[in-house]
Amino acid sequence: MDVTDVQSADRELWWLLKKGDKEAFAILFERYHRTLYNYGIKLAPASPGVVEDAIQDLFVDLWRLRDGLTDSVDSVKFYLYRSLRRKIHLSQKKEPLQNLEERYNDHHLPFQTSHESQVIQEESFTLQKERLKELLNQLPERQLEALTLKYFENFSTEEIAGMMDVNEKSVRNFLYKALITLRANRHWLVFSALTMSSLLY
Amino acid sequence: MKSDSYSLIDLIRDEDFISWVRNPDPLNEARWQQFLREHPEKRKTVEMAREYVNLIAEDTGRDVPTKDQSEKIWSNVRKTISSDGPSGARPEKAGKQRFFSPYLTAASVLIAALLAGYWLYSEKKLRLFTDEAAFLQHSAGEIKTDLTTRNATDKPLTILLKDGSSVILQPGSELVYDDMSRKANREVILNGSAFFEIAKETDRPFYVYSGPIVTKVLGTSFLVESSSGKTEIKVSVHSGKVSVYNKEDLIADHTENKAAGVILEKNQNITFSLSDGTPRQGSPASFDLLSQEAEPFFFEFDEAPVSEVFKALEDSYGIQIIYDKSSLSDCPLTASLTGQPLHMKLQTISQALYAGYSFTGNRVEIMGGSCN
Repeated sequence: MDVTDVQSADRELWWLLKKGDKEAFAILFERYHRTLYNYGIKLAPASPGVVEDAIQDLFVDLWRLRDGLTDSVDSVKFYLYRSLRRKIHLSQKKEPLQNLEERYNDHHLPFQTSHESQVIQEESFTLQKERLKELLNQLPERQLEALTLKYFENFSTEEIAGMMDVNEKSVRNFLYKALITLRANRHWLVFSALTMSSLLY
Repeated sequence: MKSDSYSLIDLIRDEDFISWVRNPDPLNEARWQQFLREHPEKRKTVEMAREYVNLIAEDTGRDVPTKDQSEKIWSNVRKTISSDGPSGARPEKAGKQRFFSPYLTAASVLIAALLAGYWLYSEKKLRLFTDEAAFLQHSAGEIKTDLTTRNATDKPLTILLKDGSSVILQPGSELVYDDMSRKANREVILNGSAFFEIAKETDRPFYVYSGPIVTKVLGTSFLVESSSGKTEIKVSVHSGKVSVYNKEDLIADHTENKAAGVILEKNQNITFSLSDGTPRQGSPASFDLLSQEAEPFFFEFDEAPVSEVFKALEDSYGIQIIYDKSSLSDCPLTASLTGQPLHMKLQTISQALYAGYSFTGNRVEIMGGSCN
C-alpha cells in the first residue's frame, strides 16, 4: 500500500466521519487501533489498561466531537497518534517533558571498534537471543518512542517532533543515540555477526 | 541524496532510505537503484542497513493487542457512544441500531482481513530479509524453547523435531531449532553437516539456513555438508525435491519467487562456495545413492534380515536398538525407507513385525514382534 494512497483514503474517511458516517468510523478504528496500541505501550509499558482506556476515549471523542473536527487534516494518522500520546500522558499525570530535553554532542559518542564479532560467534544463540529481547526494553523511553514512530510507523522527523513536543534536532538525537546503543550491542544483528561481520567497517 | 559518503548509520537514519525500505514507491525505488548503480561498492552496506531498518520496525511493532483486547475496546467505544442517547452530540433516531449492523460488521471484517493479508505479506517479506535474526526474534516473542544442539561426539547424533522430521547431526556440527509450532513455516539453522528427513507438510515449507545458502523443502530427505576447514558446502538430495537459494539473492530480491533457486531432484547434488554461496558447478550433478558417502542414508531393503536393517539404522542415526534377537534377527524385511523420518521408519518396521516400539534418549526398544 502506498503512503499517499493511505493518506488520501484516510482523508476521505475523515470527511465521511465528519458527516456522521459510521462505517468510516468503524474502518478508521479497524485500521488504527492496533498500531495505536503498539505505540501506546511504548509510552506506558507497564499499563496495558491505561493504553486500552486511552484508545477507547480517543475514538469516543472522535465520534462525539466529529462536528468540531477540523476540515483539513494533512495526516489523520498524525492526529490520532498525537491525541493518544496526550491522553496517555494526561492519565499518567506526566508533565510535557519540555525541559528535560536531552542534550549531547553527536560527535563525542563512543564508537565500538573492537574485534567484537569474533567474541560474538562464540556466544551461544540463546544468550544472543536474550540480549536481543532486552535491548530495546533498555532504551530510554523517548528513544524507543522515537524509534517506533520512525521505523514502524514511518512518521517524518518533523511529525515526530510535533508529536513529542520537541524540536527536530532532539528527535534526531533520540534516534541517533538509540542506533548507537543498538550498534554497540552488535549481538543484536546476529546474522551479520555470523555471516557478514567482515563487512562492518 | 548524499554522495558516496554514506555509512551504515547514515543510511539507517536517512528518511528517504527508510521510506524506500518500508514503503517503496516508484520514485524512491528509482532513486536508490540509481544510487546502487553509481556506488556498487555500497551494496553490502545498503543491504545491511535494510536489515537494520526492518529489524527495528519489526521489533518496535511487536506490542499488538490481543483479539480480546481489540474486541473489548471496540465494544466499549460502541457502548459509550450508544448510551449517549438524545443528549449526545447528535440525536440518532432509528439509525442507531444500524450503527453496527451486520452489514457494517461485514465491511470492517473484510477490511481487517485485507489488512491482515497485507500484514502477513510484509511479515513474509521481513522474514526473508532477516533470516536468522528474524528466526531468533520470533523465538523471543512467541516460542520459549529454541534449542541449540551441538554434536560434540564422534558419532552421528539424531535429533527428532516436533513436526516429526529427523535430523542426523554429524560430529562437530550444530543445529538451532525450535518447537516447530510456527504456522507459516519451519526453520532451522545448521552449522556443519546434517542429513535431513523432513516430514511432509505441503503448506508449511521447511527451511535450512546454512552459511550462504538456504535450502527449502516440503518433505524429502537430503544432506547438507560443510565442515570447518572446508571452503565448500554441498547439498545432496536422497529423495524428493528441494530448492536451494543463495541467501544474498533471497535478501536482494525480496521474494523467493524472484530469487533464482537451484532445484535439485533425487540423486542430484550441488556444491557452493562457503564464503559467498556461488555454485561451483553450472548445474546439479548426479551422484550414486549406493556410493560410500551416500550409503548411510540409503534405506532400501529387499528381503534383508531384520538384524541388518537395525544395524543400518543404528549406524546412520547413532541410536541403539534393543530387540529380541532370538525371535526377530532373521526375519526377512522388504521395505523402502529412504527419506522417511526416523519415527516413520520405526513405525513401518514395527508394523511389518507386528511389534511396538518406544524411544527414549537414543535408545529404541522394540517390543514383541514375530516374523509373520
